[in-house]
Amino acid sequence: MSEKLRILIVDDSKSLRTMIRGFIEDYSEIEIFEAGDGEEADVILQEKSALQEPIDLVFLDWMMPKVSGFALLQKIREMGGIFQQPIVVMLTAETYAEQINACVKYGVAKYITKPFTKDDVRATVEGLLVERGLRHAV
Amino acid sequence: MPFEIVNQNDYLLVKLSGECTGDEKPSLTEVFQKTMASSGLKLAIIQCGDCGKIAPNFIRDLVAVYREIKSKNGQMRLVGANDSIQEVIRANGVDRVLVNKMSLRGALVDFGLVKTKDIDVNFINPFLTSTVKVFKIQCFMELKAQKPFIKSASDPLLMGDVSGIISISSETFSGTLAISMTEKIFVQIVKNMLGETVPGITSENVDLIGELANMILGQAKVELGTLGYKVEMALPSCVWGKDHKIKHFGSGKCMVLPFETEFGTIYSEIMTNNGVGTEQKAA
Repeated sequence: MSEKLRILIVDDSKSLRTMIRGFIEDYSEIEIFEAGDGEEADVILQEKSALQEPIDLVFLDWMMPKVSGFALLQKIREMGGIFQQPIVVMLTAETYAEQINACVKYGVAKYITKPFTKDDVRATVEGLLVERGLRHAV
Repeated sequence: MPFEIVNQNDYLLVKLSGECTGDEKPSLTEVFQKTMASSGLKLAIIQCGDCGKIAPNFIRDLVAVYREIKSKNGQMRLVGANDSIQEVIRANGVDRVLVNKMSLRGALVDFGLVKTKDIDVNFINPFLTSTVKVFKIQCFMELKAQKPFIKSASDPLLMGDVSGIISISSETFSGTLAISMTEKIFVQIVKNMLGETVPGITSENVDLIGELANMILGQAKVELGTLGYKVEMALPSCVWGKDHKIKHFGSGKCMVLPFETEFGTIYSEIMTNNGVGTEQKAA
């Protein structure tokens, strides 16, 4: 049995996290974690990495209290050594081209602007499941 | 050439593109002097949005242009200079001379070319279109825009039972956007978005309306940017309860945009501290 794909949803809106979870929770090959701000997400990322159960994919909001999504992205990309880098997908209401470019510079795989559709989220997860050999391409 | 000078009637717009080295022939200084003399204008905006890099030699050209303008008691502003350009400007000790503004509107305000007057539909339209788009995509709800109206900013009552409020800031104005609706509509939206039937507004689900305000402003700001308004967003907040109130910024007019849905009316309130949105370019 293959290991599950670990997905972390980071958004300060609990309702939005619930909605995103609802879009993807029917995939049996994934495990979902949630964080309400960048600080909480940082803890989960580091803990899971240290336990050798790293987060594979992060859906990351930009505007959040304590530590913003962009600040977390910068921090993640500065972490090396035993830390295992996740794939990061921005899921945010921030829409300026310079903000998108700044995230691309820090290696985001995709930049999804809010409002977003179920297909936007599922296509990302499904693409990664196929890439990791956990699911066959349709 | 990495520059082009366009006469905008009130001011000269110098559009920079690519890389400006300062080795251009003819130089920016030469071309600008001739254009300024023939136009009689003494205001200039250096548009840097499409310019990736400026060499120190080109800074000399810009300073020469600045001297020319100042000799005629005029003004000059840079607009949209990126971090690397601003770094070169600072390194040459001219950041108080070659002043950069985030938006064209910011420069025009400095020049006194915009003033408060009647309703500017161009400012309101991005909020209309973005509200309809957000509700359609995220809430699976069709909205039909109704005729906007103005209420006094001193009237703090919001029109619905629950509201999402987000502050808007830019270099030329600050304000608030509030989206307000009845509990009946909110409950329907929770059902549409989360698939949950809830009895009413609770602290567990109220964040949803703040997120909607956030998305509406996020979508609107792209279009606002093309109109010269560069806005920054903040974290949204939520208030609810019968006759809940909002304290808008400033004491100007408050624009209310009503939207009809099959479940009732949703209201969007836009308030700015210095009448932006009730502004137009001076004749």
